Amino acid sequence: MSFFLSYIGPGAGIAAAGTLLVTVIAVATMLANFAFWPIRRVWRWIRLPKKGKAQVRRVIVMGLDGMDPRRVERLMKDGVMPSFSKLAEQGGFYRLGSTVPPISPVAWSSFLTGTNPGKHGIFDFVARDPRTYLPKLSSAEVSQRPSRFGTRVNVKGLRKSEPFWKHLGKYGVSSTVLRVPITFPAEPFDGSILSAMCIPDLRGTQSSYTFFSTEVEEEDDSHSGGLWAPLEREDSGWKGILPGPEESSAKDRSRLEANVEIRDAADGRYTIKVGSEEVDVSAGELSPWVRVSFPIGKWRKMHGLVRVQLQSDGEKVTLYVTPIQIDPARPVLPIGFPWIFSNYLSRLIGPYATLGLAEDTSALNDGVIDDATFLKQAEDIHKEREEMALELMNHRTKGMFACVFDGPDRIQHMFFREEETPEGVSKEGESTTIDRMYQDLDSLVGKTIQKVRRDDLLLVISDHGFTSFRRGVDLNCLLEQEGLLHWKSESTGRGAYGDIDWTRTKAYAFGLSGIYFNLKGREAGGILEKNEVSDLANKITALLMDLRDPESGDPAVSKVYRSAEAYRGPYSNEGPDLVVGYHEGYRVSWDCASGYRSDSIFSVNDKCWSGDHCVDRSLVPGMMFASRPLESINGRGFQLVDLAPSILRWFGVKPPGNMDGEAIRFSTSNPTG
Amino acid sequence: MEAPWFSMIFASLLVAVVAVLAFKWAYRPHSALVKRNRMVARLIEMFLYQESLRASGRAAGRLMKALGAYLVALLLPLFAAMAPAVLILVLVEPMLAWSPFSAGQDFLVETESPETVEWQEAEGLQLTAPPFRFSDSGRTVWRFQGEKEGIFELTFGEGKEHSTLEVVIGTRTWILKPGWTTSAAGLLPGVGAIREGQAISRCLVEYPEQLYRISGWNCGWLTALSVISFLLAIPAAIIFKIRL
Repeated sequence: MSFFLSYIGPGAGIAAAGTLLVTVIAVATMLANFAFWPIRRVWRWIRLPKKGKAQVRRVIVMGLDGMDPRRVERLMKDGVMPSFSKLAEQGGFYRLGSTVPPISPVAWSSFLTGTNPGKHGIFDFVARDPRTYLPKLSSAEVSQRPSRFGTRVNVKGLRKSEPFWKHLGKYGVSSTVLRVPITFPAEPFDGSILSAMCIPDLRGTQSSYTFFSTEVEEEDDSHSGGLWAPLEREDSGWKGILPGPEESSAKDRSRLEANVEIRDAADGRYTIKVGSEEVDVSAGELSPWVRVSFPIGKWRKMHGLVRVQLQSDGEKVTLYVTPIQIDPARPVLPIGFPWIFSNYLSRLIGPYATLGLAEDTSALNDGVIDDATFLKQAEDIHKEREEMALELMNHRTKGMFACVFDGPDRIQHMFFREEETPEGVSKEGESTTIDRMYQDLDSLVGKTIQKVRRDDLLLVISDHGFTSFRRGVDLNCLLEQEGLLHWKSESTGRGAYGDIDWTRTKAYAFGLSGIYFNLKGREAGGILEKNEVSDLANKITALLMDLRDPESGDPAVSKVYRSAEAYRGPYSNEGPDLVVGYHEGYRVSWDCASGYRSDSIFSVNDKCWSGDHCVDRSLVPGMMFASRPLESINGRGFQLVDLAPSILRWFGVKPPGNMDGEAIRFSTSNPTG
Repeated sequence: MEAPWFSMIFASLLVAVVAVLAFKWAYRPHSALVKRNRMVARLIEMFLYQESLRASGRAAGRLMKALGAYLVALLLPLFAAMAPAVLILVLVEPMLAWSPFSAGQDFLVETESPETVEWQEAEGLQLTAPPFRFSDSGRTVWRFQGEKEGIFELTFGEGKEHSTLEVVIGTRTWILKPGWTTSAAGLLPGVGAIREGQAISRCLVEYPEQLYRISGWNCGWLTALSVISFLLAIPAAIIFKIRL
């Protein structure tokens, strides 16, 4: 046989011989597993601390980011969500209190640590640097430094407190964790993890698409969500340069690039070459994943993945390229643990999205892609995740399995506009994109239910609900009008926080719902004395509670939380001094969230991003479906922070003392509702 | 006798190109890549879930299944490439496998016939020992010697019943005919046809094996051809853009 293999060229011969090697390794591994299994069991029994009797064999946590309990209730009543109804009937359907503020990085951090933000240190997507007042990513710090072998990338996780699966691992309970937000960089524990939110793209941003056009004359980075670049006509088609990551060498910083070429192929199709990979697409079709690599020095490469979409009307040609995602087969950053886990998944289901916020909401906001393309992108990402989850659920037959699906959050952000008029009147009786997406999730839950066995517990949870976002509120404008914030006289208004005159500013809004005091001794240019804090807090709270929308006369703010009231723990002082809980329909304005200056407090939100949850936590609770009835805790509702201590308890593990949540117990009755 | 290197390289090139093209025709790179990735994934799975004997055992089962799927994906094009390669091998064997006898060297000829047959004496060939007949099988072994270089005809039987075999002494011809039988008649280029009903049903001469010296190592024609075609297949696979 091997003689004949040689005629096919060495590759095929070696490949076929490789299967023999795989067989040998597999058999050897299997035998070693069998041989050492009793020894390992004894070793674990000796080494690991003893735990109590477990009430469950396996806990499956299916996280549906942003799934709103009110909508679920309505659709269940309409009879279009049979799997959710079945789960509610079998176990229970409960509201799940979210965090302050009810946004994903904060809420999921509380879920996985069982603590409030004062202990895990995540208060928003971004955190301010008190030395410079500039925003930085709240959960991870990625930096580059030159090394002998090219650029060395360092990643440091900023979330404090341990995730509960790490604690489970200490007692010998293994877990598989897929795409739970704020788990980047992936940390070692007893199990496997694929990180999610805050994984950057290869350019180092949280999401930056590239839009090539024959009508763009030079590179333009003024668009918030991406880079616009020229596409030049050539004899055989069009050509552009795809900007990649920046490389720091010992001498300078330089940008890595890849060529993009478009050629006409037969039958109205186009061949698009990105770097060295080619893909054939029709105009308007979103391509499958294309691998693109950027050489660093002589020996190394950074590997990424993109999808492309070409539009052509004869004269104008445009090409949309998704943010360059880290290739999970050869990750440049620690996106999974063990290190081979992301590669394993890539081999199992093919290339998949790795970016923290993988659905390109910015491209839709900027009009670079249309609704259908965005939905296709979101649907494909959902399918990848579903395939991964259902496959890995089979392997994790005992222990903890958790997977978070981001699709519901992204689609609700972008398609709430289908459900309301700009005045906030709901369009009833129409089947909307969001309703259809909820029904698709019902089929996912149905497939998951089929995998649940007698001793398992299935939890389907969301971190917060959803509401509309019609009007933006510029808190910095309000503070400016009240004389609490001052812009520099030469300010352009677009210089973000650098344009604020810190020598005269007492308070400023930062992030999605926080107000910080410019406190002496804490902020670099702080002017507020400690004894002035209480009065200022009272003043701003009163201002906010009296704030009414001039268009409708409706109050914009539902509740203002003080730091001491909302947060307890060693990192409380790193969070905002006041957290604004908006009313439904309102949210911080785009300009204010970016640190830009605007002329009016209220503005119309005319972006596709039309749904949100950065409101008062009581208005957007999350939800929880459980396959077994749960007993309420001292009459209070369930909170997201209760889940970590509960899961530990269900496995017979005592929750660590720093956890804020209380352990939920199984009930014999069924208190659905 | 010096090895026929030109023929060997030409045949190797032919085998390499034909096999590579046939492989390319039958190979589905994307499907094979998916299957190979799945196979490796299953292997990784065994390490990832080694704390659970059940999960690890299941992974081993899945691995075997994935391995089978990959082998099928790979073996189909391999077989497709093998078919023309084997045909070429059969065709080139008489050219490359043997070397002629030397003058003065004894050699054996084997005939098979129900009755005893005689040989017709030929110039340049002489019988150096009496023929030995195995009466139960009908086989007769003859020992000859070539006196000088040339191509000689050995004839057994008489009249219409005779059969002739070509024997090459000392000089290389394009094809060395190993002999003829009723079953292989006309199939191999080196084997002459033999009609049904002739006195002799089988007549074979065994030439010395032709050795090829590669890097100081004497090897048979099949080994030499496989090594050379293997090396030639590398550029062929690159030229024909085969990606495994």
